[in-house]
Amino acid sequence: MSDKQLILVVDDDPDLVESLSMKLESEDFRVAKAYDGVEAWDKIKEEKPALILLDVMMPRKNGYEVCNEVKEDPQYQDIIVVLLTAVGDAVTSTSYTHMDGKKNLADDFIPKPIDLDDLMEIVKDNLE
Amino acid sequence: MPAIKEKIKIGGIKLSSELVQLNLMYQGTSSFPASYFFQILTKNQINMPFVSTSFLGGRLQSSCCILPENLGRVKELVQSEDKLKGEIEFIHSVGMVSLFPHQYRLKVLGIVLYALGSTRLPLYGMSSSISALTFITAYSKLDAAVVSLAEYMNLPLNHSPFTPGTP
Amino acid sequence: MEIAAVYWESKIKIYGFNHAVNLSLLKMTVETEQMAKMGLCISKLDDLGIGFHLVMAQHSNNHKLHLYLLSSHPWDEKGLKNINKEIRADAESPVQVVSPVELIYFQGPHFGDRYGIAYSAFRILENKNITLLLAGCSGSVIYLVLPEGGAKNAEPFLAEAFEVP
Repeated sequence: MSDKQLILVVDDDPDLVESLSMKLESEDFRVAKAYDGVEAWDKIKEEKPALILLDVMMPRKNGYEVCNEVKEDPQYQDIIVVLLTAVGDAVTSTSYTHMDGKKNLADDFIPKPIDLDDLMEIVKDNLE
Repeated sequence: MPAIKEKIKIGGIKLSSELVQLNLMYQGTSSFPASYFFQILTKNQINMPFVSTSFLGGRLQSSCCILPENLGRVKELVQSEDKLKGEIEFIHSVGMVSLFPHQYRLKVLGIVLYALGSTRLPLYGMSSSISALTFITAYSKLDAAVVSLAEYMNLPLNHSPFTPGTP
Repeated sequence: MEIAAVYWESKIKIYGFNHAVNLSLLKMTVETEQMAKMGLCISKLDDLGIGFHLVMAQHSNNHKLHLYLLSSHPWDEKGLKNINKEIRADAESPVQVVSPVELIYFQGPHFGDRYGIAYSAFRILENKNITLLLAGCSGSVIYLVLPEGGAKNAEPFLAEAFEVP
């Protein structure tokens, strides 16, 4: 078993999953990938990652739901969850804006479009 | 004809909602008609979830997909433009299938062509991205396309091809 | 549940530009009935270790399928002859290669859900008289295939129009 830390990347945009994975692998992390919230839960149970990069807007189960389920489960609540979100100033029409005020339990968040250097800093800071 | 025997592993399949494909074909020395066409769609805030353009040997072909609710407006716009009138072919009711990750392997492309070709499913367009290989077929045949591909591809156990609007 | 993000940016944000040079663009044209045969041939190219940077296909109304394969593989005459034979290429349009060509591509959030992004790139190239051989936009990525020297020429102009955080 490798001693590299495992990061789970979850986004329904396969291109973004690929780009983030390549960056993380180049920085010596192991990467697992999931493309929606349901698959993410399977990977969490299967591989217990150290950190999850989690998109918000996804089919089947959104990122807020996955995040809150992780943080409310004693078996997984120590996993660091970083939300990837375009839900910010620029978004004017999405069903997720109504959830802006909802409290979620993520450890950190990164706004999209992601600056890959910022991403690495946030990942490393949170894993320290 | 020998068949493809090896199954390859992929991460998932994504299906689009119903779309309309527009094809613009031109013989000439400039790619200007394509640019002009896309300019008109942009000015009218019409999104194109798929675009392809080729301009080789004096032959220009541009294809794009739009949402069906924009079709009436696009037809009006095309009709009112002398440069485009009669130059656009409309393929109604198409859908996109995206397979990912392709890992830059030609095997994935080979399987798509083989699976569609051997089941006589239409292929109206295709383009790869960093992770996905996306192709266009008849909307009514999306499920048949997935079944046909699944014969040559292993998907994750709990994966179901998702569409926009999947709850 | 609605999952599309619909928004407008005065300057479109992207994750950065990527490019590749010294590539070959292979164009294969077949009757659509020959598609399965073409699939087998392409599959064999994979067995030879040939990969791709971009693949694209277009269908024309005379039942022909045009397949474009952008790779760093240096095609020789023998290889092309073999492909021609295997796919039974359309006699009027045998397999063609354009080489060297260059690729520039970039990615941004929700590109597929927002209007005007591909046109922003095409307009810049046209204004600067940079020939575009091939463009493909699906998912959240825009690919532009240009003649030799095109990527270097195009990048500064594209960089003015798109914002890299």
